[in-house]
Amino acid sequence: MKIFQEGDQSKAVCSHCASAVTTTFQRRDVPFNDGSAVAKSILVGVCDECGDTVSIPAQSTPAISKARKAATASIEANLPAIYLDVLDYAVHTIDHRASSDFRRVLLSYFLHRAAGNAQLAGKLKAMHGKALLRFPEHRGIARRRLSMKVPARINEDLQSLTRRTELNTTELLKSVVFGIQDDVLNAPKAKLIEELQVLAAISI
Amino acid sequence: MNPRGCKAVRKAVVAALMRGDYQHEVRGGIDVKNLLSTGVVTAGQVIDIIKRSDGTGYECSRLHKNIAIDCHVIKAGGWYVKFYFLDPATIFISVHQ
Repeated sequence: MKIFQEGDQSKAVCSHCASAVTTTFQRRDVPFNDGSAVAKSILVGVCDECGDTVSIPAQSTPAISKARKAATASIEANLPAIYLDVLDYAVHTIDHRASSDFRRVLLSYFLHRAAGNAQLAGKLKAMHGKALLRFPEHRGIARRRLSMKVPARINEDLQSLTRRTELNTTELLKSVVFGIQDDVLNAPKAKLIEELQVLAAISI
Repeated sequence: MNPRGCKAVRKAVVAALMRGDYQHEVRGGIDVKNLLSTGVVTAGQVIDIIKRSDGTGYECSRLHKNIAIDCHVIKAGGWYVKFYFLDPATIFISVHQ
């Protein structure tokens, strides 16, 4: 295992300088590019020309992994396949070029919005019953697994909503997808769609 | 001297992974889609992916229009591994599914 120390040198391509540069290893705080967290005091390769952080050696991965795990939580659910169809169709309708990650962004957006609005949170409980009427669940119905990593803050929103609505995670997600179907597919609101299109454009 | 051609590239990148002598590209932040840098996959798993690949899943293009460095992409088993060599460094740009 190659171990670098502060002051050691290497090479990398610097996107700011648009050239191959010599790098010097230093310790820096580096954010994740989805804004979820910051890996603190990790060893990085710094461009000798402009001072930008341009590389990370393999030895920094354990610290990055630890920071990532602390900042994210998993949301897991086994939903009737129709809910994933609706969710993916909403993603496609908002922006057909959206990345696969936008499904997570869209759900997070609606969860965060509902958690911060008592009226919307109240509606989610009623939506669950409506969702079951719209998508009846007979024995042997096809199901698909939804698994996504979300920032800790969105997980807190989810936990808060499950407490307030007395729905479990699966039931709550059905309600949220039902809401997405109404707001994005059935009766789209121009302002909301514009906002979601901006999010789709900047999602990775 | 940087390796050229699918066979030489695969051999060189596997050797770098085995030695633990590789780095990850950073552009404004740690790329969460680089699952090797975030520790979601291990170097050993990436070696397995690369060993499973054949010539059909290999692509080589210029890294940047102003930089004469080859950018290599290996696709295998639903995985996408993108990297470049800049002697003596091996730098991963992305490792994702």
